[in-house]
Amino acid sequence: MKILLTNDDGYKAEGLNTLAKVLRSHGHEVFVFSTSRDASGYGNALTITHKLRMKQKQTKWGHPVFVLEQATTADCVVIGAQFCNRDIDLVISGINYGPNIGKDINHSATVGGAREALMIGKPGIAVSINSFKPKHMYEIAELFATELEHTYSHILTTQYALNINYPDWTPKRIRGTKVTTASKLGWENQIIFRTIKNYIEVSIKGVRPRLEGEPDTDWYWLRKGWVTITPIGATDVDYTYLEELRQLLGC
Amino acid sequence: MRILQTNDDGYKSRALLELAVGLKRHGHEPVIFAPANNVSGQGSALTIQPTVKIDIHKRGDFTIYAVHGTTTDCVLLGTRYTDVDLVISGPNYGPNLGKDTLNSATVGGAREAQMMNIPSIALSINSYYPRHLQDIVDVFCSMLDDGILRALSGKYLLNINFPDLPANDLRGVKVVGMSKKGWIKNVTFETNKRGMIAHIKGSRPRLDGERGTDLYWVNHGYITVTPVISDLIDYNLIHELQQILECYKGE
Repeated sequence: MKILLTNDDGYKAEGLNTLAKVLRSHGHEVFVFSTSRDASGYGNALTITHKLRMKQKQTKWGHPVFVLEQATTADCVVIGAQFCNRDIDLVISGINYGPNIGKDINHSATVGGAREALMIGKPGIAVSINSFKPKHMYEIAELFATELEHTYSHILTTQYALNINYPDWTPKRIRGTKVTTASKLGWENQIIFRTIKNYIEVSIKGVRPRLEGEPDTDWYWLRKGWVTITPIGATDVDYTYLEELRQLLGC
Repeated sequence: MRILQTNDDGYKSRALLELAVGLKRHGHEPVIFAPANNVSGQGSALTIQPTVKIDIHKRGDFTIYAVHGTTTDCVLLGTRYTDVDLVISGPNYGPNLGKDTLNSATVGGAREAQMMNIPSIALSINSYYPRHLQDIVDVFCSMLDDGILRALSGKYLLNINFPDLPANDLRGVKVVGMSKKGWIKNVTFETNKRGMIAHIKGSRPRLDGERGTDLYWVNHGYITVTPVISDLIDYNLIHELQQILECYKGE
């Protein structure tokens, strides 16, 4: 397959480059478009207010990376796809350092990249590993590439993107795969406001509570050693409530 | 009720202040946290910085808090600064219709509120240079008191688009799904001595929209209201995806 690969941890990130290398060794043609910086938390943000500098860089992993200065993952997907004349079969965003689970996927630029793929009419997959210092990155990349061949490549669609999270475990110990909903939990922000004359200085400290996660959610299963998959929709409309809302508004 | 107002066009927006005046006249208490700069297209981006500056400006009777960050940052900080009953993001100059809501910071801000279980509305005008701002604000404030407040829930946020028409010419309200059309994201590449430059330029073709969608009705003089999911997950697909993946097990 022709794969556009991106992520939000910067072009030197081990997760991005390990996956590029492994996908290439599995016979895929991989085009890597990355942000120059850490663009975590930028969700689906798209840079429409100014131009972006782009450079091709050679990496120690043996493949080139197109680096977009100060860009977001959504930028990488839109620009990368155009650069490849839209001749790609799939967009993958990852492998991200740290999980993309719970309510925080709303801000996730890894998930944002996969979702932007749907908007340009290509299937998208977001892949993350449940550790900020993963010990099993290479094995997980191999596992994902194998599962891509056996499973995911057969169910590619532009109706929804897949958000896949792997435990940082050796594949032999991983207990299986769960298709689940996302937990309502996530980062908590401790915010302090300090008023100084005509402005306020705000200090924000994010803390991620070590919790079990509500039963049958991504958080819950991932912690128990399962691979979790959550379908991310291509539309913002909540069709479930359309009729209810019509009645409430009387129209 | 106490209403947090934000937008993505920046704190200087006239529409933001007009709405504050309207809401106050209708007996509400607006609190304004808006971005210090234009952050259009930034979707649900959250600036994860340890410190953020908020400038305090006075505009008539109102205090405006100008946050050096995104719309989502404004909602996160505004709702922590004071307790609010409702968040309104907008009125945006230009529509948020069809598939564009995925990158929309107007909708992104409203979604952030919803994630914190605060009811929210994204409000936009189908013109970049609205001529009937005053009328639109008046009609919106009346709609809010007459029905919208009843329809607000923790289950979805409301994406509302107004045609740029005088009050008398507005034809009614339609609760509808979204068009599949939207911005065309054109990317141009330039090469100079220092490398390549990519530029994402949105262009909005004058589309009519598929019959029965938001784009269609707003072009026909109706106010459109769409229930928008408060997270990114397509819950209807979870079971289906489970079954699809079952088929590939053991192969």
